[in-house]
Amino acid sequence: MFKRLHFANQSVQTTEPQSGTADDEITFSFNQQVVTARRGDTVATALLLNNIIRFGQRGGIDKGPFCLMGACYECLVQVNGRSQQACMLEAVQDMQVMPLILCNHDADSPATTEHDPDDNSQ
Amino acid sequence: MTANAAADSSFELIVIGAGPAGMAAATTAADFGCSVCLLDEQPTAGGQIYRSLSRAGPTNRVNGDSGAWKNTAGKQAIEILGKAYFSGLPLIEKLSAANVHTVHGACVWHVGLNGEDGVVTYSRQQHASRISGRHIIIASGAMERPMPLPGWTLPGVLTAGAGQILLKTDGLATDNSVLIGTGPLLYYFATQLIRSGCKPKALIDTGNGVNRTAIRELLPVALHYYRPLLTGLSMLSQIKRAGVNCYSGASAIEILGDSRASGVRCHYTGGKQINIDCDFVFMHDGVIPNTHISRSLQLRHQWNSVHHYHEPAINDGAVSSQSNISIAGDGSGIIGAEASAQHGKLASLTALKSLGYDTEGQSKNRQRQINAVGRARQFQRFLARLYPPLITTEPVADNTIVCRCEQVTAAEIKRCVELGCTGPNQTKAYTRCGMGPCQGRYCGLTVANIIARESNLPAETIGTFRVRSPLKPVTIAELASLADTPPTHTQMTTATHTNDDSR
Ligand SMILES: Cc1cc2nc3c(=O)[nH]c(=O)nc-3n(C[C@H](O)[C@H](O)[C@H](O)COP(=O)(O)OP(=O)(O)OC[C@H]3O[C@@H](n4cnc5c(N)ncnc54)[C@H](O)[C@@H]3O)c2cc1C
Ligand code: FES
Repeated sequence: MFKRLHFANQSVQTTEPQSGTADDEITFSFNQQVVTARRGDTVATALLLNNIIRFGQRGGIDKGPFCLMGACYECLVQVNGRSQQACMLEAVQDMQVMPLILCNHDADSPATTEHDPDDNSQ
Repeated sequence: MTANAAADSSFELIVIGAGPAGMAAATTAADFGCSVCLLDEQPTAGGQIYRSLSRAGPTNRVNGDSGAWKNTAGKQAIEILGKAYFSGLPLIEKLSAANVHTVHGACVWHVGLNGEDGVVTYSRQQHASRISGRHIIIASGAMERPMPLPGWTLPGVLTAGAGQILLKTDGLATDNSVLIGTGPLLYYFATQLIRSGCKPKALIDTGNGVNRTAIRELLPVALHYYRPLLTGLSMLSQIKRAGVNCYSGASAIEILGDSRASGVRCHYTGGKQINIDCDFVFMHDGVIPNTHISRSLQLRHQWNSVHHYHEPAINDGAVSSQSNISIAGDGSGIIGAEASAQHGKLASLTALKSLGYDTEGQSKNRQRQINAVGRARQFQRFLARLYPPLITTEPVADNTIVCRCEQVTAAEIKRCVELGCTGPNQTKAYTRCGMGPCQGRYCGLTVANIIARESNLPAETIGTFRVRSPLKPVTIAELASLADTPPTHTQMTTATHTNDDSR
């Protein structure tokens, strides 16, 4: 499991230790499960911190983030019915994130596939 | 100077990528009063090496004033991430003070030409924009070399670069990991994990640590590089001292697990077998230039047989086969962060000259930069021989998934060769390999390698996947948002491209 290191919980600039303050914390949902994160975290970071590593499925195979730099598209999730890279998307309060589950031919072109926002079953 | 979106859509210079190369290129141009737009898909400048250095996140709150690092958190950040990471601050600060129109979060998905001008299309927050520039510098950097192994598609398997991004950007680490692969970045990441208190369970080295035989062979060159070599040796001894189990000369590596990685199995020197349980695997097999943009433009590329990758052909001044397009930094062939900044400056000065700026006063610097970049290329060739990629020493196992997006295995590619495929674009038609959203970024080299091996042809004759825009998936809504901007012609007239099996 991933954990946030001590130095990341404190301000590096001031001499006062200030651990993650309350207003820094946000919550959102992944597959209806509540996830806590810190403002500025990407969705991928937040999910990993919450021990979620399966972000979706493609052609029956479980998918999780791989490169975290926007190149591999293995971290695709669904937000507002749109497939997005979890590693390139900042988590915001109350965001509703769903796993992206595609059969193989859907994955060809998320480019032009607009998913039905109400259809969370897929 | 940062802008939300390009208000002005015409520039003299457009720089794609805000890593060391792009930042140096943009600020150099701004110093001359040139109008310059810098685009990067990340939320902050820095590129891969200085990623998130400027951000208001964990390490970000460092403001360049070393006094600010005197508290425990600051000291710890430096101790864990290493001083080299913080050496990017001057570049980042120079950029934020410069008169550069910087657009962050801008994912470039098309580059083309319209008459004399370059045209760049990018999406930002689901809205597409198109800008034009008289000269374009592509500084899109590097990515990690795909390392196809059985089980590498399991959730819980990440690249070492990804592990480093988590550490740099969010201060995240995990202590139940196994590292697989070879090369300085892997060892560096291992030491960062150790300093974080998250010692990896094992380092499975596909090389022989610092390959002493290769050093002996390369001794005359190696003497030149004694300092980086010592750093390398010291990293390895830190890893061993920390008690990380190191298995060198590893082969037949398999990542185990059903729906997530749960362990690694391999043979290592002496034919012994080992099984290690873990939650996360970080893999690394060196870095390769990110050539998607330059290939989509059908600029001339060449096969580099020392590095085993394709790189764009450029001249001393970083100009590509198209006179108003330059390629700087690791995207031009791996040169490392420091040389990338020099190369960015050099590319910029050359472009400024062709834009009519008086750069005479810089001719001495120019030669210095050319020399520095040349030395860096030589050093990287040396590293490439010390740490040869796994794919050159061990064939990809049949059951290994080669194309992660479309789940195409090595066996399927081999079957294509039996059926007479001679290049990657044909295997694409048979298997859909390379047609998923990553557009062949993580399978192109492997496919070319398998074809070369199976058909007994030299790698340089195999060619690459043809790259078409959009370079990254875009939605119809994004395309529609472009309708406001006037259309442009995007054909290249002088384009040449070698080894394209599709023709
Ligand atoms: C994952 C990773 C980790 C690394 N870590 C280290 C390290 O710790 N130490 C070290 O010495 N070297 C490291 N390297 C090597 C190092 O990245 C380079 O030597 C150096 O950063 C090269 O600088 P650059 O400016 O050429 O490219 P980069 O620093 O890679 O910058 C390229 C920039 O271009 C942007 N970009 C790419 N494509 C697009 C697009 N289509 N649209 C918009 N923007 C785009 C990227 O977001 C990126 O910011 C790493 C490389 C990788 C891939
Ligand atoms: S993890 Fe590779 S694109 Fe997000």
